[in-house]
Amino acid sequence: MKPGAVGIGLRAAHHDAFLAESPLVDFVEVHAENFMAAGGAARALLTAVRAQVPISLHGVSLGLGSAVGIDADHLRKLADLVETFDPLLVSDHACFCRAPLPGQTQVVHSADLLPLAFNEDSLAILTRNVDQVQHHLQRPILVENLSAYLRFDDDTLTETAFLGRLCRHSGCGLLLDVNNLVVNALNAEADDPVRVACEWLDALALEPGVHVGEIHLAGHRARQAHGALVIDDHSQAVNPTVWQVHDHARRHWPQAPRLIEWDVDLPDLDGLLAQAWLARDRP
Amino acid sequence: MSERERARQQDLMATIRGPAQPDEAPGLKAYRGHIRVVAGQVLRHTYPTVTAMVGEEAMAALGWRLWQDQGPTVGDLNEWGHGLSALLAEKVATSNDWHAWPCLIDVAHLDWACHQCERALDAPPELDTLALLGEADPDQLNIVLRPGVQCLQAHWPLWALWKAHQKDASPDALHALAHRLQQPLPHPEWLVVWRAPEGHLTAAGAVISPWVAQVAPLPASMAAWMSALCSSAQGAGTEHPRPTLAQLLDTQPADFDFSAWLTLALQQGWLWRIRNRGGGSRSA
Repeated sequence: MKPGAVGIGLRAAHHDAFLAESPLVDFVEVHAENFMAAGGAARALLTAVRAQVPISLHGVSLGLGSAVGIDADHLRKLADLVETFDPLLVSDHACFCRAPLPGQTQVVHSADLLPLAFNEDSLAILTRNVDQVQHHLQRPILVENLSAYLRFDDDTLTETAFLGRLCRHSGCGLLLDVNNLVVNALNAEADDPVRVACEWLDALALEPGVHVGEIHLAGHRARQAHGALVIDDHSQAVNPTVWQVHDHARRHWPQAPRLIEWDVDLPDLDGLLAQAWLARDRP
Repeated sequence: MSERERARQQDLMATIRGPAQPDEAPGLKAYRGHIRVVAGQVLRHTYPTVTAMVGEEAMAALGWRLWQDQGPTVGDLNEWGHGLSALLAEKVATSNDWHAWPCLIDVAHLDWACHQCERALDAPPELDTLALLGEADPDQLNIVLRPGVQCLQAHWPLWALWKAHQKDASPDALHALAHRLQQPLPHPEWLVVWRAPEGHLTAAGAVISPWVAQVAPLPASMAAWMSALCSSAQGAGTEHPRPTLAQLLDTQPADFDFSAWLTLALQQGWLWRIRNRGGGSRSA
């Protein structure tokens, strides 16, 4: 992929328009889970898209930090997608999604990206699982920093140290979501969320062995009420504060491809592409 | 591996699936709120006919209840929601609000069957294997339906209900049905769900989408046969091999017309292939 490539998250509402218009994006990213069926329209669609443009497979449910481990069947399906569609990038999140309920042995899935404690034990779990996935896929993956609505008061590592060590121990790369940094800073009631997010990036850049393989850009809805959390809902154009953090991230990792995510209240394809062109035209 | 992290994750998972507490952290509310929304979205997507009948608000409530009772165990949420028909059966049996709608249980079965069918392996009919019917011993042959083909038995006018909720339904189709929902059918009806093979046309010459599940009533004379074929596919495995063509024919009534069924199965695209147990699909 060319340095600083720009792509869009391709969602169902845009499938037909994308295939009809063949816009000149460098790549598209799809949620891997939407294409895991044995057959059907989704898989046929992905085949057609892949014939036009490189793809990135972004997972939302591996639960890389799950203490119970990775779902072997899910991993098998992901490996099948990787083999079939030869994606440029494969990624998921630094979160957990799988755990048994108290008193039960059956593991349930959260269908949400639940936060990890930043400590040695959690790091060991995440590293073990990332190792397993990479070994199975026979390729490195990218792990995305989370927008987290809970923090644990017994953390012993900073998030950047945690992610830096994950990279060094497992050989994975990072998918840097700059919107998540801004959302986290807002929810931490930071006086200057942009400064806090940029300092986070500076700390990450000091971690040796970190490879940022992709940058996610998205918008978030403004705080809905005093004291309410800002939700990372990908429902807006990229916020001005997020663009500022993006520009700072580019100073550290100018080669990393950028991707526009928009999942709720979607604009038409042209509206989404306009965001991608903004990313492409930034210095 | 750390028991502390295991316990932490288990507790958080249980908390966000449970009822809200008055003084809980806003983050817990955020996670619970999100999965409530997701539960409703997933069910609305998977059960379009049920949703059309009960409304989105009721579907959201059903979704959250089902999530709490039988939450997803896998990350692909398209695989979640099978339990809705059982939940509806419980509602119909125990709630006055639902008591008058037992047909919803059949509708849920049909929506789920269509959903599964639309995700099934793409497998064009292997017509060259038909020659085996004339070459090999029926004791050595299996009839294999295309992936996604399913048979359903309904106690309510499911075919009419389903048709009345399609885009091209006449505006008064539902009104016309109302009186038929007062009592179960005197004799259950059978429906078949399948996907047309690529390139299939309607009788009027229009292309049938190979991705959208088709639904049609099964002639009574073929219901037992198709049901047996569908059941044999579900149970088939190394330890329980599919019944052979001869074994299946032995269970059919004397007036069952295999040739008529085969003609219809080929027209509709139900048949995948004939398999020779003694060798490959084409011949031994």
